[in-house]
Amino acid sequence: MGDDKERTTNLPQAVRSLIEARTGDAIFIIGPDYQILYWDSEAESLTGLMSEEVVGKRCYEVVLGEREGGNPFCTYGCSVMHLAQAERPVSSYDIRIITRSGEKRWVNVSNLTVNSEEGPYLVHLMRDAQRSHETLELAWGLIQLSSKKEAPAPSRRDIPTLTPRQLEVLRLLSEGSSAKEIGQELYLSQATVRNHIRSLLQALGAHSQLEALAKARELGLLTE
Amino acid sequence: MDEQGLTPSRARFIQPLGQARYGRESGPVGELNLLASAGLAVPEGVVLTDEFHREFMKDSDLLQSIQAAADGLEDIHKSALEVQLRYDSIPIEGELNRLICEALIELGAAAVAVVSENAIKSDLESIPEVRAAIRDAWLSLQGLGRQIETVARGENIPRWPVLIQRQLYPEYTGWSMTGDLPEKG
Repeated sequence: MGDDKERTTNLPQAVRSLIEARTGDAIFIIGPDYQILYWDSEAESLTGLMSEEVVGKRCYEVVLGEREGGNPFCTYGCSVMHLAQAERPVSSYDIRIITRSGEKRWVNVSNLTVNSEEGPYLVHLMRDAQRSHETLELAWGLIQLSSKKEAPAPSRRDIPTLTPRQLEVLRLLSEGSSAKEIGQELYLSQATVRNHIRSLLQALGAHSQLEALAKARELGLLTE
Repeated sequence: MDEQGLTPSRARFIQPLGQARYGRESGPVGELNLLASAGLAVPEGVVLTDEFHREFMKDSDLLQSIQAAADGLEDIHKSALEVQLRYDSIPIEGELNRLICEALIELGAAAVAVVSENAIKSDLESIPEVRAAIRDAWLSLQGLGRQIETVARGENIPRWPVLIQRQLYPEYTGWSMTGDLPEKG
């Protein structure tokens, strides 16, 4: 608490009062110039980032919040600061932050704005929202499964990276070659070819050669 | 391209189950084709037409061997067995192989069954297995015997289609109910 007093002496009285009126949330405070002025122990444990290393830095360089879909939320001129400057209320929102360990984590943030001559001070109250997002994602997955709609086209992330050798083996399989014929074509032993086929099936999440070929075609891995 | 988007050569040799027109509506393949064309829930598949069979016999010289067997016919079973042994590892190559590969990949099944007039082979999970099953369907003793006998009578050589059908496993496709439900009371 003594430390807190030291760190908050330069803040406007109203902001200090909000810090003292503790909630269970993590609190961090952004000044009118986007500088982090205060970062409490709850924020430290939620993000893994220590107060000493973040105070004085620009919030958007530290929090690195992003929206659903990966677009950046925390930027210079963010909507939160704009609304605060226009003296309009800011609704709470969910963003995904990057913790010290590099893990992405959903948090929910509410903002309290304290106006001053220099501009608004933003008191961020932040809480973990990872579990609720996981639940939502699970529910969304179940809805997708139960609906008759076709699955969306695979995104780049869903396409496995195959080695050039695996791609060659895949091509030969699609032409109807047996393991023996593939071995002759590529100057490999049948055991090596079987290993390549096995790893190919694993990479494509297939249980048979036919299924692997069907999946490869779906993913555009089979060239004409 | 025809109305189904098939190239002329492909439409001649391969047709989707339910839309196949190969001049035969009896036998397991013909009946499944009929059911599918009536809109019943038949697992999808592709039919290798009797034209495909003719091309296979031509490519492999099987046609000539059947003709020769019919010319000196004494024992149908023995003649059929001799032809079968001579051709039982004949490869299906070139354009015919390409058509099979293409159709199989487009079918997108993890496993298929090959259905012919005389037999069904199931749990086929690779192209070489399917190709071998197709060859076996066209080299069955019963089929060869019928071909030799028919040619010996001076008639046209019989040909028959082969169906490659998506295989469904009961544990993934539903459940069944016994005929007699217990009475309430």
